[in-house]
Amino acid sequence: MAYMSMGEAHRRITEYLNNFSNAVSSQDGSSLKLLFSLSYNSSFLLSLSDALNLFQDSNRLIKQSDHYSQFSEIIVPLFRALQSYRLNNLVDTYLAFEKSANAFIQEFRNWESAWALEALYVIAYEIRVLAERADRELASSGKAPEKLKAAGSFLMKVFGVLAGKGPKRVGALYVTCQLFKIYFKLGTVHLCRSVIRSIETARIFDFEEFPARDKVTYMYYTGRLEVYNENFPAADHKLSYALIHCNPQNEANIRMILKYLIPVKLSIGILPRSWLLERHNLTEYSGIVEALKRGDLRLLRNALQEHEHGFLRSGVYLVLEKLELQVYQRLVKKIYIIQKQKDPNKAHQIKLEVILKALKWLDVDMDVDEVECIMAILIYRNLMKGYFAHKSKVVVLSKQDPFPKLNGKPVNS
Amino acid sequence: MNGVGIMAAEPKAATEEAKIDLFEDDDEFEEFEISEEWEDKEATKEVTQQWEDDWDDDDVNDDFSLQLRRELEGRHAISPNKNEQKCDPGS
Repeated sequence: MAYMSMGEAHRRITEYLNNFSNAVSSQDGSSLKLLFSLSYNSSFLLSLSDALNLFQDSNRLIKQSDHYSQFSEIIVPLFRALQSYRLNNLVDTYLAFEKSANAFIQEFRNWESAWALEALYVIAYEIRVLAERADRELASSGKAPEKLKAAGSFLMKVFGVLAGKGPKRVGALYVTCQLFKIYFKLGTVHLCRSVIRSIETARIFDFEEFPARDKVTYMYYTGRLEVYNENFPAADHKLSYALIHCNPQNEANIRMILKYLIPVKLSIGILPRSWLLERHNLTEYSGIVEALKRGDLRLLRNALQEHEHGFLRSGVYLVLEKLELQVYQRLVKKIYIIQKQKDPNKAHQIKLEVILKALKWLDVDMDVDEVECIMAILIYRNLMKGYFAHKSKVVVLSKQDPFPKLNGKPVNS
Repeated sequence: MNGVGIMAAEPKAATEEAKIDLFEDDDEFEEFEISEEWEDKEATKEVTQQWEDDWDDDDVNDDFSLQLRRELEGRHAISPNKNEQKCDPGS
């Protein structure tokens, strides 16, 4: 810390107080937001926190003018947060910042226009990030991490302030996205439901009127939720929206969208081009795509095994595992075509024995009864049309479209 | 998760996974700047060209299919090596 005189400290604190009161009186949201951006580590706020730690009696400066003292409920705890932040006491920082944020919300509620939305965004972001860091501090000293959960409750309150009618509603989606990030991190994604309902059932506000950055983030998270619910058409719609509208410069986000969209597309019978996997470094899906194309059950199994850990972590393992049925379909189709080339008249009859032979070649250890069961499932799920002659152990395929394509629809369940 | 995967769906894996992910989300979306704006590219041609929906064709001339044919015709009684696939259709 560079040396700072008492006079200099005094000057910096007064400068901050002036900026605050000017930003509010001129309704300048983008100036106001800078005064709350703790974790951006701006030199302005860093030197202010040094000044506060030196000067100690900033409360006296706040009280000396009505311009400042009317906001003391916001500024006093905010100063405390800045001081703690500078000393790296993150739990104290969080507690003080939340107090300041609560007071800010009280004021914000009374302002009729939405001029202070940008400042509110910064507060919503800061509260989440500070809570995460506070929790890390708590966990490392063996205490229960609970601040992120508290940040979630606070942001629900903020959501309530924005979600009604009026010009502030445009900010509701930003807060929703911060809530999603918290819920996904805490593993309490069921809590997303009530906010989603409020966003999606509102007749008074068209979704398209929200800012692009929030729409894309929202569609990414709700798309992931649809993946977990195995609602693939909805997941496809949401994640595709996120992909199309995402900032093309933001490679990390595009890759994350694709990470979930690819398994969704696969499950409705659509494959990514290999250049797409390579361009975004998603080659963990290459083996699976190839397995689908070939009808290669062994390759599918190996590809799933090889990347099992990653697929489990992102929660797509079960989705990918279910592709097995499509791979069976493809394999039986290939057997059918090979038979057809040899003898077109008998091609629609496939002996179980033949399928068993192919499976054995692929190291799939099954007996005739199990193969029969798989064929029954393929027929039941409409991946194969025909019937099964139990006595003669033969699958008799329909002469018309024996292997219906999914065409963007999920496998029947 | 082995053997006949479709016979036994395992909901257990999903709950275990939720526990692992407590306080962790590897795929947290990056924050866009508050004033970040970009040109919306809508559904351009490139977006639709990322995907392939007509892959399920009747072509059986790829290495895998040729080997499958040989297996079915019984010319090779032994299972091929697990890692290395023979792809010599001429033999």
